[in-house]
Amino acid sequence: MMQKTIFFVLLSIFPSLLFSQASGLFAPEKRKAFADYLFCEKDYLRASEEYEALNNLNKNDSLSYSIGLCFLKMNEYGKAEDVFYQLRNSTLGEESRLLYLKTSFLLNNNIEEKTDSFSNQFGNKDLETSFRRLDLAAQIKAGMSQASLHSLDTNFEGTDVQLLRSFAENFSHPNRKSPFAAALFSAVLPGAGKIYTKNYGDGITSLIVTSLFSFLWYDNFRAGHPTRAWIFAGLTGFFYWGNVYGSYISARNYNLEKAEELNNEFDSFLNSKNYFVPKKIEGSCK
Amino acid sequence: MKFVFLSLAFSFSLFGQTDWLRWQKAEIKYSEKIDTAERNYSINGSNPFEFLLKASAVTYWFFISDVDGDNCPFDPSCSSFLLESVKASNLVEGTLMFADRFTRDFNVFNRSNYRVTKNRRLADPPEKYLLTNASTKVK
Amino acid sequence: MKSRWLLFILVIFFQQGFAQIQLEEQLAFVESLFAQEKYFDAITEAKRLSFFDSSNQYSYKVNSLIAESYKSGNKLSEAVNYFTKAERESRNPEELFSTKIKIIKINILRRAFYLADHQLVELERDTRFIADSSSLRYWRGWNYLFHDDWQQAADEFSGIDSAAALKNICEEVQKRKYSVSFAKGISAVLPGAGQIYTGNYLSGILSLGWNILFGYLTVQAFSAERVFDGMAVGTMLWLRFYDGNLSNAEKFAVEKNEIINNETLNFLQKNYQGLKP
Repeated sequence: MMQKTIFFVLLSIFPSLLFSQASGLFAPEKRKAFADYLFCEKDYLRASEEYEALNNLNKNDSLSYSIGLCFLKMNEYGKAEDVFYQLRNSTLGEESRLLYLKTSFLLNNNIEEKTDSFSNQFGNKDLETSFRRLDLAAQIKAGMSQASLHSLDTNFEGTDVQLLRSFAENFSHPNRKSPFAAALFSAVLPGAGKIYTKNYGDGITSLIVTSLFSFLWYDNFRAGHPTRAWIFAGLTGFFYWGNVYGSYISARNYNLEKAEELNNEFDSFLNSKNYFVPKKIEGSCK
Repeated sequence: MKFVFLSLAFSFSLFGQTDWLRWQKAEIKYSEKIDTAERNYSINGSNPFEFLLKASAVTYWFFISDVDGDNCPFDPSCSSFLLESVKASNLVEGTLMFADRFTRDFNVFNRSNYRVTKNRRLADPPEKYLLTNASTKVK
Repeated sequence: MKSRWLLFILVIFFQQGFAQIQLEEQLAFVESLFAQEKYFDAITEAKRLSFFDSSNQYSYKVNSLIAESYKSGNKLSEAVNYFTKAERESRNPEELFSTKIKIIKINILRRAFYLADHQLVELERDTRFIADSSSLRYWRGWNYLFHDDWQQAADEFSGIDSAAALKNICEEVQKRKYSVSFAKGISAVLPGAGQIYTGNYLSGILSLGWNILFGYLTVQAFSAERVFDGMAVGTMLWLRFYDGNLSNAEKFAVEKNEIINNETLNFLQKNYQGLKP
């Protein structure tokens, strides 16, 4: 009886001993649990290093996919794009294809060709919807045609449709000011070009400064002070041509600023809606 | 009250993003960085015109600009803007850019469209006004 | 039946023991990474330890180590975050006090003067730490020192035997510093004087020269009844250089004081052997 007990005790201790030596806190399943915890804590670099270490031991699509997600979360779109591209035909192919397109979209790469080659490759209904939405978002940015606007109604819901229609309208007909018109207006009436670009303070200042020096030029000529008159003539020309140049640049900068504003607004709208991320990615973290 | 604001200011954490890049040991400096807009007084240039322009600017800085107080609200100052504009473009374009800047310096109506720098000046770099520029983003 | 129960208890006991050994080994690993100044990795391993430490027995130690690692990487907000977690997990008044002081030291370093001061007042009011009042005065001295109040810092250090050297340094700095209001005041009376007081002789002489020249031209224009010229030269030139003279006097004094502060702070960081933030 005593011998039997000792045998059982040793038998029970042995796996524990073996376990502590060979695996411990770095056992693959523990490491995976720790990596998932880090991911949910938004500690993405550490999480990706843990997934990478596990992937080196035993290559696995799911681990590579998690690494891609870490890159995506850290805004390392280039690296994420590579990972998802590699996984496009894997067991997680559908999700990877969608995320590959999303990262390309975020990198401002033209995804038109890619969406063409990936269409009809989504069996999952949710992923198919996300794919079509991503495709439409890319079309909106590229300046969607009037004929394609109706597809927004069928792929988006509620008030989002109206918002997206207005984004599409703004992208295809951006609010622009003509730099040449601005320069011309300022050539006729100093400052007018800047007022045209809604730069009212600088426009009025241009008008006052140029008018003041013109008056001094005229007044000195009239009073018989030719030297002073020539100096003021030079200063008038200096400010006049500066105003023409400045108005051209003001319109050009107005257009750049408006384009940037529209892009930023559209990006934050898409971010807030989170249209293109498969639901199961976010669902795993509480 | 000051304490409450400071607590709030320091209570939020950028934890996640801090560790999205590997970092090393870094010294915590007891001393504070002194923000002074240092000017480059060396007179040099790739051609005689640039040399002359820089020499005039240095003379202006030494005898006038450094002793007449902080009159220019912009960063870089108008004289530095002229030097940088000519260097980044050419004499004609640089002069036109400077004339436009000088006019904007007189603007007393509205200056809200400039970013304020650490030195509490209005960021207005020449590259924003170059004909070849394709972005309004300011350094 | 009895022996089976004994067997079961033994198995549980050994498994618990091995789990404990694994955690101990992990803690030793974290400490070795910390000692090798591999702070990023030390944090990763400390987090691993924390993740598997289901009974939270290492919480205080782990959070303190993470905080120290962040501090060593000059990531002060994160360090405070983890010291605050450690503070919550402290197991006795000594650990609590030492963690609170570590938080105060970081607030001193990041020049959060009012926050550090408030935390010091809270500790002073806590009856558990009455015996630590000189330590609290010492850190209050450092808080003033980083707040550019050298006289107040010297006052706090006086009476603490171990801080006699610090007191002398603070008093020395107080003597060396320039008076900003004096520099501005003498420049208001005699343009350029404030600049000369702060050692900027050339700027002072130039300022004096311009003010004499434009002052003379203004007075001369008014004396000759050329009111418009007098107004133009007076406001656009004389006033401009007079204002410039005042702002330069102030600017130079402030800059010189900043240099003195930085020199002293650098000296303390590199050479002072006592306790530092």
